[in-house]
Amino acid sequence: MSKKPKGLQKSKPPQSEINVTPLIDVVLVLLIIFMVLTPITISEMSVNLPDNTETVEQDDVPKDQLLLAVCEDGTYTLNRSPYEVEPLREDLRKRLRSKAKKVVFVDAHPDASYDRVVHMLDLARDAGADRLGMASLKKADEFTACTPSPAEGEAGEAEAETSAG
Amino acid sequence: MVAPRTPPEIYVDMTRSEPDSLITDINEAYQEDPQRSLLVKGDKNLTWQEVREVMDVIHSGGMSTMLLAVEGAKEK
Repeated sequence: MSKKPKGLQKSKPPQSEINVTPLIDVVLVLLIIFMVLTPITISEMSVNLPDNTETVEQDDVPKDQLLLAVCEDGTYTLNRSPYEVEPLREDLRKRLRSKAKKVVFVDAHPDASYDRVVHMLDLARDAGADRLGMASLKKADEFTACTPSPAEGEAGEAEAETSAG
Repeated sequence: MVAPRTPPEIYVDMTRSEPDSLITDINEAYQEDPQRSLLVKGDKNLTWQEVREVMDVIHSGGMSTMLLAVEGAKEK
């Protein structure tokens, strides 16, 4: 058996397929990195509950006080006026800008989603509130922060009557 | 940790607790590490009343500073 000279040996044909093995390795490594680094989404907010609860008569409440409320259906109000999220953030930011004490009170319907309440606290802080006051838990029938104030209600009815007439 | 059950289940460091023993369980956890902060984490499907009642129990135990957290996707 004589060996063929090198020049006469048949060379392998060129490989036309792409070798995807290194690509898969890289993708798997990236996948593992993202799985490790991606944290569970948690929104946090620090709150201080008051030591003493003071009951303030309705007439003594400052008129420029800001009261944010989360309604039972998940909607928001600012001083009893309904708002969408972004307009609420902007309006609250404007109102707080002119205030020396940037205090916002937050109230929520007992059946409102906890997620919504934390979102509201987050929104108030984002809008520039330095201090957040949390209203005490009320019974469903005692929660009035989402119902229009009597003056606004009358104005709304008058306006409706005017437009109807 | 407040989990969405009826009534809601309360956990202190992954150990089931009850409203009556919650303060004791939290104090025990504090004794192990007094520098810890108190985080009240609740499922996003809970109602405000369910979480607020737990906060009131904690507050009645003399702890007035706590962190609130909600588990789930954050709405932007």
